[in-house]
Amino acid sequence: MTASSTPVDLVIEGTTAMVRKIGPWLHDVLDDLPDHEAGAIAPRLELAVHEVAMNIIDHAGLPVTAEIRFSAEITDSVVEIRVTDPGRPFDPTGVRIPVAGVPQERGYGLMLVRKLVNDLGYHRLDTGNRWTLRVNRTPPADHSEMSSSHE
Amino acid sequence: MNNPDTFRASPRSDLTVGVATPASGLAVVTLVGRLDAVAAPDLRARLDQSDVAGCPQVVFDLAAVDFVDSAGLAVLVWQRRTCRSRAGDVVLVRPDSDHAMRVFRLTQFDQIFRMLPQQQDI
Repeated sequence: MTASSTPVDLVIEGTTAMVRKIGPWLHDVLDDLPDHEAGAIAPRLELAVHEVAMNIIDHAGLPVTAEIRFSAEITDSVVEIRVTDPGRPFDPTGVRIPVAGVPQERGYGLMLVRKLVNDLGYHRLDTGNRWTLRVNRTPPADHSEMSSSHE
Repeated sequence: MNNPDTFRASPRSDLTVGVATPASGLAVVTLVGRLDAVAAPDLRARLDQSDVAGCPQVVFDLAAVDFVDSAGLAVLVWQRRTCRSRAGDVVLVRPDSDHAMRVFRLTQFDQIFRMLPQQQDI
């Protein structure tokens, strides 16, 4: 990775109301990107990071006063967001995968995340969990192609 | 026709909800702002009130909704199930925001729900 920058981390309480801080923080993170890139990446990343945070809040059994940390790195090719929490391990077998054309109330969160980012990683740490979301940066000529490649 | 009433789902929710009952059995719920996990519980409670809960046909006007997450979708699915149990249905007026509309496409909710381009098409 070259030409990387490291914006300030966001740390929030593990409660639903606090997820509203993610959008403004992400817009600050992406502020140095060219407008065409920030405009394409920010909405996708905001929803993806928001859904990861809500998955943690709903399912990680966070201790009272637990915090979720968001950090970002921007390189020439990728925007990477890391989300760290002190909760219990994520159990992918507990996720009910939606069936196309059959509406259900749960299970769409991680489905959306996978469709919105280019790469989604999960790692169990000694004291919690770390999710890594990566979105590829694109030169202006590829902008329209990028916007449609995930839908 | 009842006068539409509006309220903010909660002081922190950034979602404004307007309800009108233009015909017997029909409620039009106009949402403005963010349809997300913060707003979802209060919206669901509002939909449980008698003016909407008594209507088998519910239209959600999402034209001015600019952010939708999976918890917001869950409210729509819940209302759809409730309406269908009364031989009714839910119809959506599509969001003007491309970003909000993308959520419906990615989940194929645009194929599950009847979606109209604007409210006057109801």
